[in-house]
Formats: sequence, C-alpha cells, structure tokens
Amino acid sequence: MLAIDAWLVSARWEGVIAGTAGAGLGVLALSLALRFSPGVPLGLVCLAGSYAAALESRGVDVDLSATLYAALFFLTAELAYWSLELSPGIQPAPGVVVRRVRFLAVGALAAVALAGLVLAATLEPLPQGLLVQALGVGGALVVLGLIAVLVRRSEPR
Amino acid sequence: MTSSATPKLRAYVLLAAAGLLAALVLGRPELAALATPFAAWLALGIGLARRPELDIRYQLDRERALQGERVNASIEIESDVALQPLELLLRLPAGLASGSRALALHVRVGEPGRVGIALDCKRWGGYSVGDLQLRARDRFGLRAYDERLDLRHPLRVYPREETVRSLLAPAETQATAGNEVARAKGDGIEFADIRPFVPGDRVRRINWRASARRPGLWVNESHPERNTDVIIFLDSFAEARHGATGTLDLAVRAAGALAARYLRRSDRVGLVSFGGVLRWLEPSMGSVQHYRIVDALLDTDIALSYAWKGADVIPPRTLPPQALVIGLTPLLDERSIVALLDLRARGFDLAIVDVSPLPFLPPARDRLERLSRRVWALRREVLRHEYQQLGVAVAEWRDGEALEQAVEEVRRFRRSARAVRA
Repeated sequence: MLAIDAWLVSARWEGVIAGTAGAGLGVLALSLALRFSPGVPLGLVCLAGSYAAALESRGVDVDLSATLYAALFFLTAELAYWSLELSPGIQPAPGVVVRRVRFLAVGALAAVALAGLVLAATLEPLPQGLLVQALGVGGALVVLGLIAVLVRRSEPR
Repeated sequence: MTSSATPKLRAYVLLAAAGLLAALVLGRPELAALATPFAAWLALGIGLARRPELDIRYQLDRERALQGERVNASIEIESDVALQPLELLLRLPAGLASGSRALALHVRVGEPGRVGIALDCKRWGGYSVGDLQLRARDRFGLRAYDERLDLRHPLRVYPREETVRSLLAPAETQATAGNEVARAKGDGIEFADIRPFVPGDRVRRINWRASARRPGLWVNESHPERNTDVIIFLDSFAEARHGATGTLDLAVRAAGALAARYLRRSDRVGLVSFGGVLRWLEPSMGSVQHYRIVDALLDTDIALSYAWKGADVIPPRTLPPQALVIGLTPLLDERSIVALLDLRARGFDLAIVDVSPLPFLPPARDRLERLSRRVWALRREVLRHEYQQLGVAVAEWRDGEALEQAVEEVRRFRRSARAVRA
C-alpha cells in the first residue's frame, strides 16, 4: 500500500519511484520469507526513499498525509518484526495475539499523533536563516545522541 | 536472565537516524514525521525496560509411566515485569515427545502465567525432564532476556509388558520351597511313584490299595515343590533399530515380562546385561527384586565397545549352579554368541530367544542386496542349528508376534531334547 501510494502521488521519475518501492517490497518480502532480520530495515529504507522521491517529484510544501504514511510505515515495521519474532513451532498461548494487536493499534494511533505534531510544528512560519538551520541540525543530533546514549546504557554490563 | 539487544532495536535506531538526517538534508519535514514514531518507540522502550526477575514452578504430574502413556508437565511463571510474550521451550530427551513443547505465553505482574505440556512417552527408559529455555522480550520488543534453567525431575517410563502364560521349566530345581515340581523324589504333593515300605516311613504315606494287591506294604513317593533360579541374559552389545523400535526394546519387554512371571511363582530371578557396559543383579525373589530388575532394565542401553568380553567377566555369584539361563539376544555380536556357547559348555541350562533383527532392516534396494540378505539369514539359521545341536533350545521371536509363541517353541524343543537324552 505504501509503495502504491508513493507511485501514485509521484509527478515525475515514476520509473525510479516504482523501482525503489518495488525493490523495497521485494527485499522486505524476501527478508520475511528467509527470516533474515537485517533485510527488514533495508526494505523499509527503500520504501521511505520512494516516498521521499515522490514528495520531491511533486514539489508540494508539506504533505499532510505523511501522518497516515508514518503510522502505516511504523505498523509495517512492527508487523514485520512480529512475524520474525514468531518462531516456527511455537504456539502462542490464548490471549497473546489479541493483546499484541491491541498494543500495536495504540502504537499506530500514537504514531499518527506524533507525526501530526511534527508536521504541525513545521506549518508554523519560522524565520529563515543559518541560525535556524543550525538549531535544526543541533536538535536532530541531540535526538540521535540521546538514542545512542539510551541504547548504550541498556547494554548488559 | 541475560539481556541482549534485538535486531529490532538496531533497525529502529537506523530508521530513526536515517529519517532525521534525510529530513535535514532534503529539507522535508515529512521524513522527520516518518522517523518520529521510531525515535519515540526507542525512547519509551529503552527508558522503561527492566530486567525481569522470574519465579518458576515446574512439576510433572507423576514420576512413573508406562510406554505409550502421557505425562503432563505444568509450568507456572511469575514475573515482576509484564512479559509479552514469554517464549518457553522444554528440551526433551529422545524417547519423549510433545506436540507443544515450545509455547508463547503472556505473564502479567501479580498474575502468573500457567502452561501445561503433554509429554508422550514413546520409549521406555529413565529420563530427567526439565531443561527449560526461556526467552522474554520487553513490551516494546527492543531487548531480549534469555535464561536456561535446569529444573529436572526424574521420569521413569516402563516398557509395555508382554503376555506370557507358560514359562520354561528348568532342568534342575533349587533346595528351597517353590512352585516348580522337582524331578527328584521327596516330600511333596505331586505323586511320583510307589516303593516298598521301609522302617521309618510314615503310616499315612502307605498306599493301601497297592499294598492289598502285592506282598508287603507299599508307600507313595512324591515330587517336592521347589523354587528355581532363573538368570535373564540380556545381550546389549548390538541391536537392529528402525525408528522408535529395535531389538533391544523387544528384548527389554520380554525380560520384564519373564522376570515378573518367574518372581510371581516364588522363583529367584537375576539379570545379566551383557554388553559394552556389563550390569548384573544377583538372583533374588520378591517384589523388591522385581523393582530392581525393572530399574536395571531401564538403564540398559547399547554402549559401543570393541573390547572382547567373555562369560568369565560375569561375577560367579550372578550365575548360581543349576540355574536356568534365558538368553535374549539378536545374535548379532560375536562376543555374546561365544559367551552363550561358553555358558552351555560350563553346564548351564540354557535357552535362547533370538530377537530377530530381520523386521528392522530397510528394504533391499537391488538383487545383490537381496541375495546377501538371504545368505545372512541362512548363516543365522546355521548358528541356531549349532546351538540346537548342543542341546540349547533356540526360538526366533519377531516384532509383532507374541512372546508366548517363542517360549512355547523353546519348551517344545526342550521336551524333545530331554527325550533324546533319555
């Protein structure tokens, strides 16, 4: 659905976008079929790349449907990893699947809200300039650094 | 529990970083919107992650079962952190099987997760069951916690017993009382003969009818009831096996059945498991000996050995004089074949149940293999004939046939062999 959407909304470079989205889908499907977890992020990156290319081809300011796209993208990643977590031959106890689905639904709704917040922040006109650009880069680096620190802290000692 | 990062954690870090960087480079806030849920998921997951402390209770509903029966293992897990899901794998030894030994369950705080695993006892033997492998993930699936627990409980699976109605009578009986009518004459119930009265004979033994027709007094003689010593000689050097069944399984079943029947009629029964590992039980009687024999049978297994072993390695007290030795063997290993011949040469009353390996062979692929099988079968026939020429009764017993049939064949041979000797 994400791949078709990216292809449909594209105004130029249809071939490239369709190719990237198709490659993403193929890599994702192959990774799930072969239970090769490192392939999953690669497939997702390809799908996100096709979406980014579609956005560039259209040249719109802000695509508000990105909130739904973000939720679907997140849900795809979660479902992909869920299917990898399910080991063949393991029977889930009653109730496990229902609870997981409920948890994912809440996660997807939260993703819509978060993505909406991010887009809403960008709709507000801000002064242009090098300083603002530097603030944005700094903010992104702080987020990445925070993630790195949290990941490092959670490593077993 | 040991903790490790899941592939999902690394992937989400990559996706969040790639999304944010791409948003900066391309100046597209939509890409930042795509990356935000992943970044938030990571922050929440890592921030709230806690190593779970588990309290596990595991038990089997019984410690003893018969081959083919089902035993239930119940596992109860309590955790101080909600685990969704907790994957559980019960590693089973060969001989036990379960359709659901790997499970995923949900464990909440203050609400223990309970699972029951049905274990099918496919093969007899002594097992210890309870090698548990646990794998839990945090609620966000970013960290995995693994633990392997050794909560083993013993489980003894007894072989199905063969039905045996008639038993082999030994050539000689022992001195103590039992149920076997001795060949010798003495005090007993079974009538044997009459003889002239001699001073010291009891008056009640006088046969008045016979005395009325003959000069003088005649008294009845009788056979005393004595017990016997039976040694079950189990060949565990080699076996032929196909899937879950093999010659050793049949031999163990037969040994258990014969031991139970002989012990029931007050005979003394001993066991010699002759193979790579020599095991023996001195003859004794009663239900305690029955349990000892069954337990010894459960520990019987084929142990590969190239060392030559003769009958001289068997402790002498294990083979009392005048004992009936019943060999349960597939006649595959030269060492057991020679040991049985040696026992016969030492004068033991020997009978052999040849547990046939033929039903366990895979189908012959070509003409040459069929021919070689025929030659092999003929050689086995010759071997049996050699035993019979030495006065040893040998009967072939195949999987699917009643043990009674083989025992009856041995009895028939022993009756005719005695007639020839007389």
